[in-house]
Amino acid sequence: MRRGEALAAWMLTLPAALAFLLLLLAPTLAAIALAFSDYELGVWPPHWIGLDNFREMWTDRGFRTSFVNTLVYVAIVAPVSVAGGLGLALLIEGAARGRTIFRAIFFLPVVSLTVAMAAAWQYLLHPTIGPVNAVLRAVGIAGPAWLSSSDTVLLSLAAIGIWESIGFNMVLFMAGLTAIPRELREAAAVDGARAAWDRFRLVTWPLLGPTALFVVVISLIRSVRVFDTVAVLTRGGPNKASEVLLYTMYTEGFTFLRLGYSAAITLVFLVIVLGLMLVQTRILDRRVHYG
Amino acid sequence: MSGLVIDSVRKAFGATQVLHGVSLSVRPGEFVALLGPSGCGKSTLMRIIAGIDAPDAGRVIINDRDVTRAHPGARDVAMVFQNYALYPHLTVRQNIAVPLVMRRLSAWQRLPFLGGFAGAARRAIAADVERIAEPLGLAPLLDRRPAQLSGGQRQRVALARAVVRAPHVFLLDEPLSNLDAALRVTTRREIVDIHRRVGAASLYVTHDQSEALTMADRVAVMLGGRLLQCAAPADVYDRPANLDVARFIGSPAINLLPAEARDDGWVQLAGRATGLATAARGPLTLGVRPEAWRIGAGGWPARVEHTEFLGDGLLVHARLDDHAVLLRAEPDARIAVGDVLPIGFDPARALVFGADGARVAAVEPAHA
Ligand SMILES: Nc1ncnc2c1ncn2[C@@H]1O[C@H](COP(=O)(O)OP(=O)(O)OP(=O)(O)O)[C@@H](O)[C@H]1O
Ligand SMILES: [Mg+2]
Repeated sequence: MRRGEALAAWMLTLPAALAFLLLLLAPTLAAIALAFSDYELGVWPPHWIGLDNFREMWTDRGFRTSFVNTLVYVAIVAPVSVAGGLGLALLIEGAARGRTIFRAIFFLPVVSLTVAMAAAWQYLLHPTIGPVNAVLRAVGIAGPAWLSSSDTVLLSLAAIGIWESIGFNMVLFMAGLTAIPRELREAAAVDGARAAWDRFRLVTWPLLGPTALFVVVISLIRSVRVFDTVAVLTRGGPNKASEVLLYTMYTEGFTFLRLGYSAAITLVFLVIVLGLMLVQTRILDRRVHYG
Repeated sequence: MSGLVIDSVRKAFGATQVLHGVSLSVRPGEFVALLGPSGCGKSTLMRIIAGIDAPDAGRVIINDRDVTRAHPGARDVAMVFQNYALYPHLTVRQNIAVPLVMRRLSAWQRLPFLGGFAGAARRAIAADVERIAEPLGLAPLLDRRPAQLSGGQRQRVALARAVVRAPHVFLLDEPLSNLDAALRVTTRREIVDIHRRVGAASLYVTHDQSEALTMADRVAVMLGGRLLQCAAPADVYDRPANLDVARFIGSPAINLLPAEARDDGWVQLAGRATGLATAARGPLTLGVRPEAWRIGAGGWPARVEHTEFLGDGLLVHARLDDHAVLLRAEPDARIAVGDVLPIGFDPARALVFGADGARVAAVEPAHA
């Protein structure tokens, strides 16, 4: 009876377990193995070279630029889109009317195709015919060539990144807000929290903690993952000013066909993402759940 | 008058009128129970008094100050919510301290890093919290979070948080509804004790009439958004203002029988004299509480249909002509289903309601 049950359990888990092994675990392990080899497409057999790929990365100025660019991008996009998402969620929650319409407007970028939207951004930011610079000209400022000057390209991409994820964060925060019992905010008012800021400090922000942690981690991961706007709009240029981690990985792997080196970059990316998730589940989760 | 005064408060949600002009006053030190069935607008009235909702019309006056438009935090009211509304992320100590922190510390002193500058004020708050927690038995629980407490303990934390700053008006919205029966009875005492200690004007919402009748100095009976009567518990029970109050108060419920007053004022029930006279004439309703019936020779014949043993009494369901009547007999009465009992009532304990439902006084036959 016991053994029959155990067998049935294994049989039932088998399809999911197989799918996990074949589609997730095996490719990941293969990529990890490749990261320690000099595999290049068409050159067989690959050689085990230990940490050479990582040593090369350390001295590779191109990789270092791409790493720093990614950090800068994340440092702009994550905080602004988290704070902005929270601000929008609070504003919309407090609005007397039009909640649905505002929610839809800000969520639109999330459901639209980035590649298609990139074309729109290219037009908006175009140095001569773009509306952004037209507005700037109207007030007497000569706008820069947003996407083709190395001073502004990362900022412009970050702005697009914020536009993309602010609505996503807003929706997550709104879900978190609706889970806070209205009675608590009312109790806070009766207890003497007269200013909206006091009620936010006393009730909303602490109870939003789990949501906020989730949104922060998701935003960090989403911004570390930046790729499609770079690939479509700038291709890492000009002069590597917008090279980011995943774009470097892509060019190394698919343009220069150095799959081993590309896999090593992937591994760095994987470690960053796993580290962020670990932070969420292990350290911070304990501090924001009240039980 | 200091205390709480509510003057013709009206409130509608959309097309539904929830409060139809409610007026009520509570003196300092007085404990008034607001009693009414579910959905009659009790919580709505409480929220208007606390300032969480605004009335459509009417005024709320607290300690001689019109606070109808004032912020909840500026009204000197404290409220115990139906589900306690404790802050889940704060310890019991911090929960109880919130009303003091919000009132005694400035916005600067409340900032986490600058809080050290308010040392003396914070020590005073800590002392006040412990002083209020001690008699409620919360002292050993002060460093727990609400999730680590039982329902009864949470309830006492909510009480402590409400009274810690000695409010002028103390509102309680069905604070016992989430407790089990035994705990309810002991907590009743605790609430009345706290009320006496604080001396606030207390308004206690309940739909449980035994709570209202046992705890309150006065009971305000509310039905369908109207206040029908506000009087001492004995008055509400013995002299209900109208049929609705009589029907609502008392368990088991009062017997209401159609009767008629003759032109000379004598009341007749089913064609027989009752020994009761009234100033009203024509058809009326006679109210007899189950314990006001007497079983004995010379009464009306009532056929017993069902009996319930209550321990301290026997509840008899009987039929008098076409009317079902409930009567309460001694627990050792030998009454069996099918018996025909001669029943009557003491005219002094019977209630007479006119055709409009209002109670009319019985009068001496000579003056009828
Ligand atoms: N925000 C609201 N919007 C619409 N209708 C409401 C709202 N709040 C209350 N009501 C309605 O007003 C009526 C009175 O509600 P209220 O909460 O005051 O009842 P109550 O007497 O406290 O009942 P209970 O004993 O069940 O708590 C109900 O019919 C309810 O449906
Ligand atoms: Mg209620």
